[in-house]
Amino acid sequence: MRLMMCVLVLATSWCCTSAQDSTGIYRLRLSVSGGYQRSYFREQRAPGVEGLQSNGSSFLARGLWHPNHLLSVGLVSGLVTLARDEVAGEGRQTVSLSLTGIPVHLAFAMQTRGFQIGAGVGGYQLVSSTSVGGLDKSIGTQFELGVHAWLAYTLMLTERLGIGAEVSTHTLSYRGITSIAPHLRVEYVLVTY
Amino acid sequence: MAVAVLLCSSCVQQLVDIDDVALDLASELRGVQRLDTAAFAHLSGVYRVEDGGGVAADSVALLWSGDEGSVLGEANALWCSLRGGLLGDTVKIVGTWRFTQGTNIGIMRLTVLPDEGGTALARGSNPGKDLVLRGTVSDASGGSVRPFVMRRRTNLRARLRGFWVIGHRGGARNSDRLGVSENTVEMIQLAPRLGCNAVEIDVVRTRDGVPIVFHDERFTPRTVQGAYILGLVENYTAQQIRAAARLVHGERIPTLHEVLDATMEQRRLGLVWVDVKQRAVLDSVLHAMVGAQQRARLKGRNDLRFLVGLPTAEIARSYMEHPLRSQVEAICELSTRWARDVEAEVWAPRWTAGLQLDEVQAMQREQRLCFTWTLDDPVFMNEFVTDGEFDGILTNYPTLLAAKYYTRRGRQ
Repeated sequence: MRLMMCVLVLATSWCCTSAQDSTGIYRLRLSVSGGYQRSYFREQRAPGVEGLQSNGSSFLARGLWHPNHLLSVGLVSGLVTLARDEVAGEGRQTVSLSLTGIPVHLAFAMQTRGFQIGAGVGGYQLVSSTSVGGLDKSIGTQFELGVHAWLAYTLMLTERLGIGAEVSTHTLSYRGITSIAPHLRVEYVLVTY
Repeated sequence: MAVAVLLCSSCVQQLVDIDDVALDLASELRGVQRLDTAAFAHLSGVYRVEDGGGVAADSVALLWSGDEGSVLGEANALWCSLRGGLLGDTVKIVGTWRFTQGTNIGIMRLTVLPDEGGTALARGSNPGKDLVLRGTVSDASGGSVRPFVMRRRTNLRARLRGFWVIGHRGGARNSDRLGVSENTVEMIQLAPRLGCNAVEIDVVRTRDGVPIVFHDERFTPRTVQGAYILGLVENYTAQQIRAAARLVHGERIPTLHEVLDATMEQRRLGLVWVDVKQRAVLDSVLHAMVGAQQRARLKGRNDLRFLVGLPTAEIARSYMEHPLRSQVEAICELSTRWARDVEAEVWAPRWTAGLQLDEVQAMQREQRLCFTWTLDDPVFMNEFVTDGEFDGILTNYPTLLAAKYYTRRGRQ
């Protein structure tokens, strides 16, 4: 968390002191990204589960309004698969477990020369699924506060469409979950005025 | 802003459990023999602190049973968790001390020398006021060693008769960092060492109707480890909870049946207050309590009382209409009128309503006990112990309440 804050501070400072992106144009940019995700848990996820790391995937969608200066602001949502496991239940039954999060964040970003750095603050609607022997299924939900940050590079193929890559992180400090996700991204300038 | 966040996060003090000290009990107590029943009864008592080493002041109570004991002190809400026994004619005692309302912890090492009561204890006789515990206290790392001396003032045994020190959530909360989770079998086992002679436990219901001992209606990191069990308790079956969640100190979430059975094994517990958190769980709670009463009788625990707590009018009405009502005693947490209507054996108002001397005396004339809850403030605890007429107090700090009750002078 502290490292992430330091990176954000340094990167923001660099963005502010380097290039200007003032073209006199207001834009509404949409971007979607998706790919692999690695999550780190502070505590054991379930009895009998070895290791504190988990592989998953995530998909994020961002809508950012980019006015006539470096800062842009918008909303982020998506679907983040934090973990999946199977543990032994009673009577040799298998208990299947999964944990996903739906982020709902207010996002701030700065961009220059195709690079973008941003952070989102808000919450994650956590959804947990627990089923015994594939039959007896329970869904639990809980809203938790969290933050996410990303660093992206986008190559504009046309005036409106670009593709690129990004690295994003998710942190749910109360739950003790941190994720890092290298993603491919597609960006589209929806409105220009 | 970011710098401020970084600075603040660096300043947060790491809280530690009482067992997180540099102490190897096994090697320290090598060769020590368990005290016999008579000896540990003689060791228990109220002691005058002659040198508190900055840890205790004035008087403390020592409770000893088998090879383990506790020192309870009013000053700093002291609790010492001790183990020990006989080494020849010397009693050797080692353990940890802790301010239960603070973060300070450390190590305590005491001995009873042969000519200061050790020989008498080894023979199983009462050393009386000649009993002196002498030793040191240090910080958690073993450094900053200071002398500690306490001399026995009076016997302990008769002191708590008729008064109930009731430990909330089975004895203490997770936030009290005792190394044991609240509302568990393990906490019930610890409760007598915290000074409790009664415990309150909380019951909620799983999706398949199993009463489990758990305080909250939702699973959160405050109470459970495990990423997958979250949200409402009633969303999950008992099997799912057992498979996917553990309490914060690694224990399984116990059923009501398991916890009631655990109370029967603790001879120093005489009363169990089963707090019903939802109306839907009342039926299964009453059935479990009737079963527990039968098992307790079979184990010779006729002295152990199981009472169901009625915190709301809705639950009280359901209790009044229930066919098992006549078989299960009740603690009414509502008004005196409600207590009479449900024919509760105990009336238990919230402590913020004050001493209520007239109401308490009226209830006691009707052969009802009176408890109050949940009293943690040391100043008000003092007032309730010295000026109040309550028969018991429910608290998150039973160590403090028991220390106040045992070490008070005057009224006995």
